[in-house]
Parts: sequence; C-alpha cells; structure tokens
Amino acid sequence: MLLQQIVNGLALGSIYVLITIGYSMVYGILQLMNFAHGDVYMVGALVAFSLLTTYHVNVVASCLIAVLVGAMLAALVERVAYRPLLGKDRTVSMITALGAALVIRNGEELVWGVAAHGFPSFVQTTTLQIGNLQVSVVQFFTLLVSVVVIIGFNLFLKYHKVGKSIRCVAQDIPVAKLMGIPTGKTISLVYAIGGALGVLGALLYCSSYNVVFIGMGFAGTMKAFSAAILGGIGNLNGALLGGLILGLSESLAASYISSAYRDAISFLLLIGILLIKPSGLLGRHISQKA
Amino acid sequence: MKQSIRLMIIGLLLVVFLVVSAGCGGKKPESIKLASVSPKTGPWATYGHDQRKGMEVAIEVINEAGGISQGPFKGVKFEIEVFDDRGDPKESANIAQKLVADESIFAMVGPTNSSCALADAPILEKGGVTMVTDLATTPELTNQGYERVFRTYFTGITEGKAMAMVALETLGLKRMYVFYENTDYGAGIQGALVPAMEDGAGEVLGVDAYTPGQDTDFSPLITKARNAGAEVIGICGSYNESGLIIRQVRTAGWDVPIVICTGNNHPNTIELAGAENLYNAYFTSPPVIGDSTDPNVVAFREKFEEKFGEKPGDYTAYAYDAVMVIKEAIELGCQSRDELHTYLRKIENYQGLTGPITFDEGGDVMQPGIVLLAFENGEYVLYE
Repeated sequence: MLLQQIVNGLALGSIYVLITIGYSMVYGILQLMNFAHGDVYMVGALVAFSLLTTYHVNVVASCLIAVLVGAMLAALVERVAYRPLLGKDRTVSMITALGAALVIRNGEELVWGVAAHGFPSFVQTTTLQIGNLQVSVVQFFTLLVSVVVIIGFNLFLKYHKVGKSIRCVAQDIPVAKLMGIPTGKTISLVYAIGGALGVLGALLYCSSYNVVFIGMGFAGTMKAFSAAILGGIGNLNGALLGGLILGLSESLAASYISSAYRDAISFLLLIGILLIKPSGLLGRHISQKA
Repeated sequence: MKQSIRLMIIGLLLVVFLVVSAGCGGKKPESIKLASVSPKTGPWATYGHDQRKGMEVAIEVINEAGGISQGPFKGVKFEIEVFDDRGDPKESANIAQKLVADESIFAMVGPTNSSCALADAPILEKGGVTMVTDLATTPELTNQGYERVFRTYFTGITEGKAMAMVALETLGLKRMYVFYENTDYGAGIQGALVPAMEDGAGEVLGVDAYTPGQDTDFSPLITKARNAGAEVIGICGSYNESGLIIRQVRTAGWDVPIVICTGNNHPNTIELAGAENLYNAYFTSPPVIGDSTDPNVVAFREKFEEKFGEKPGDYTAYAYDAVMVIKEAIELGCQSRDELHTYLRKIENYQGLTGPITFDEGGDVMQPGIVLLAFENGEYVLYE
C-alpha cells in the first residue's frame, strides 16, 4: 500500500506544482504574497466551465480563452490593488491582496454560485495499471506540463530580452527604470504570466477531479502558499519540490495518521521544515537592503 | 411638590397601561410567520430550497383553506420569511438570535445542517422559540433535554442502522469500510452505522473522515479501503463529496458496492459522479413520494408541480409536515410562540405526508421505513 500512497501523493502534488509556480514567481520577482492568486485562477476555471458546458465551445478554445481571462484579470488586480501601494510596507500589500481576493470571490459567487459542478475531463481520466499500482494519467500529465513550464520559464528568464528585463525589475526597480526598462509594463506582465500559469494549473486540477467550485480558489491559494514556502519562495525548482512534498505529506498523513487531520499534519510539516530551514528547502536567504 | 406628584401619577398610569396591554396576550396575530432557516446558497443549497418549497406549498394549502380552521386563532393565515444560513453554524446562530428578538416570528422550520441545529438549539431554547427541523439528523439534537426542539426527519441513528441493514441483509456483505463527513451530521450516522454493522456479525475495517466543502482528493482513503479488503463501502455525507468519492472509486478501477446515506439521490450527485460510474451504488432514501398513491401525497405532488413546474423532491415533504404540525398545534389551542412546544407534544398520530406523527420526549418521530434506491437508465429507481 505504501507505494500506491506514494503514487497518490505524487499525483496530488503534481496538481499543486502548477498552481504554485505562478504564486512563487510573483513573490520571487516582486516580493508580494499574491493572495488573490487562487481566486483569479478560479475565475479562469469557471469561465472555461461555462464555455465548455453552456456554450459548447471546443476544448482548446475554451482553455485559451480561460488562460487569457486569467492573465488579464491578474494584470487588472495588479493595476487596481497593488500598483498604488508599491513601495509601501509588505503587510499592506498582503492586506490588499486579501481584499482583492474577497472581491473576486464574491463576484464569482454572484455569477456561478457556490455549488460544486461537474467539470468535463478533457484529458482522459484513465488510470493505468502498472503491476499492482493505479496511476492516474492526467495527474502525471500535469506534472509533465509543470516541468516543461519550469524549464521553459527558466530559459525565458535567462535568454529572452523580456525575461532579462523581468530579472532586472526583480533586482532593483529604480535602476531598471534608469536603464530604460518599462517597469510598469514588466510588472503587469509578471502578474499576467502568474495568472495564466495559475489558470493552466486550475484547468488541469478541475479536469483531474471533474469538479469545479469556488472554494477551490482559496484552498488552492493556501496550498500554493505552503508549497512555495516549503520549497523556497521565489525559486521555481522550489515550487516543484514544495508541491510534490506537500502532496506526498497529505497523502501519507491521510493514510497512516488520520484523514480528518490531513491538512493540519501537512501544515505541521511545513512549520517543522521552516524551523530547521527558514528560507525553505531550496530558498536562498536574501539579505534585506537597509 | 405638586410637580413630583404629577409625575408620579403619570408614571403610575403608564405602568398600569403597560401591564394591562401586556396582559392582553391572547390577541390574534396578523399572521403566523414561520422562518425558513436553511442554506439557500452554498454547497447544500439544494436542501434549503427543497425546504422552502415544501413550506410554501404547505402555507398555500393552509391559506387557501382559510388559514387556521379552529380555536382562538381561527382564520389567521400563514406567512413565510426566508433566511439563508449557508450551512454555517455561526450564520445560523445569528439568525436564531434575530428570530428570538423578532416577536412576529412564530417558529423556526429548519435548520438543514446538523451543526447549525446544534448551534441554534440553546439560543432558541433560551429565547422561547420552537425549532422544527426537517432535515438535521444528529442524534445529539434531541438527547440533551431541549424542550423546544422537534424533528420530522430521521435521526442519524435510524440512518446508520438502515445502511448496515442494506449491507448485511440486502447485499449480504460483511466487511465494510466507512467514509464519513467530519461534521455532526456525518459523525451521527457513522456513530450508529459502525455498531450496527458489528452487532449484525459484520466487520468495520476502518473509519475515515473527510472535510466537506474542501477535500477533493480521496485517493488515499480509497487506497486504504481497497488494501484492507473492503467488500462494501459506506458513505455518510452529502452529495458534493459522495459524488466525487464514487467517481474516484470507479476510475481507480474498483467495482465495489457502495452504500450511501439519505440525501444523496439528487441530480447533483449524478453530475459530480458521472452517470456511468453510478452502478453498484445503493442510495438509502426517504419513501419516494413520486410513487405514493396516498391521496394526501398525490394532492401535494399536484400542488407542487402546479406551483413550481417540477416534481417535488422527496425531502420537501418533511418541510411540509413541519408546517402542518405547527398548524395542528395552534388548532389544539396554542396561543403564543412561547407555548408551542407544549402543544406540539400533545399531537397524536397526526397524518403527515411522511407518515403518522407523534413526537417522543426528545422531539423525534417514529418514521416509516427508509427505502433503497439504485441508479438505472439515468434515474434513481427502487431497488428490488
């Protein structure tokens, strides 16, 4: 059974990874806890749900539109909620983020209601039998997508002009401005990418479990938050590691300790790891500029 | 001196006036206002709307017949005021406080969720308002000595025993693994299911809880159950999770029979589980009112379809009966919301849609048997 539970945990973790990437990246570049992350990606997922079920739009188009919606909404949130507070204390932006999240969540509730709906599975939810083990295809497909995204994004940051400008903005905004980098646009772009990646993760999440409901947004933000911190926030490889470890710990906790307390146990694990290594497993301790 | 004497006389007259007007409590109220307290939004909204609709049909039937038919309140009509507690005990408690403070409310019908009922009961008990719940099942509600709590639905004990009977006798399976919702509701049913299985020479291989409205991945639990060699799975929870669990069991390639508690034979379950996954799934349910030939039930069905343009769900009848027993209590002589509970206890064998109603000491009713449904050809049908 242990092996199957590990497989279950990795599968669950794969879903978490993609959601975490967007979240971690925003923090890594802009030092902001984007608590609206989950709710933004849920809007994308719900839009996809409506397109797929009510309007019968084909899968590819629905996903593209959903990702676009997520990206635009994320950029909008940045403009409206975060930009005016740039430079202020970090806690202030955290609070605005929570506020933005609430506004979005209530908006979602008005349009889609809070009930759970069946989300169509556009990636085959088949389960492979490998020996004695059940392996869910779609969840490992998600892991594959996550890895591709991480590698792609790392390359983008390193070699592409826009990627480099993002790194400049991450290092020092005033100097980046002096260098002629359009910092405002770059920041919006970072959020937009974060939102787009989040929606991608959400679409695969909903597709794996064939369910979509608003609560997945906030729950997802919490998972992304924990996984990102666990792996070292700001580090994309850390997001990968953190997501997988979180999934594993939940699965093992549910099977060997108590399913009712699975979340509590995963958070205890998070606390434990942070006590030993405060910057997360792969995080670098960034010293504060005075 | 004259000034103060004048003031004293005015004060005295005021007091006398107040006492006299308070004493005239037997005045006919404008209407009997019943509060519909249940989730109208949120994961359990389906149950809340079922309740509201059942109540509205009952109120329409009563009012069309001229309101209360006998006693001091003869001719007074009923009214409904709708509250949304979202299934959240904190919200429900707020509503309960509101009802206590609002003298125009005669009684509460609901709440739907067991946790909300447990939160509301002490507030209503203290505030002198009676609760008649049409769907909360926790046994804890009626065994704590509350006088103003009544229930027209089954208790979790009845449900748990029925599920055990289905597994042991109808299906002939002994080794069960139980999944239950980590709430008063789920715990109540599970708390009766496990001993019932064991008393009937069955075996409960394991009991695992899940958090409703949050957990979407049940694979660790399913792996555990499979590994333990379960012959049958019991689910004590509502449709959001039961649908997902059934789907995940089937996609893991496991055909094991699944027995589910009442409240799950809804379209939502089909949507979440996927119709193709609902084989070998056994839904316990209240008697299906769609099939009944009882003239009262037929009349209820027709009225419901006329009013809402859809067939009544099986759970709407319990809300209907809740309103009707309140009417019965008033006709027996109840003249204020404060004494409603005394008169409800005087009811003997009132013929409700759900069967003969007499409330026991705790406030529960002896219910007719739970029926068993399976899913065939896109709908729930009686299992033969």
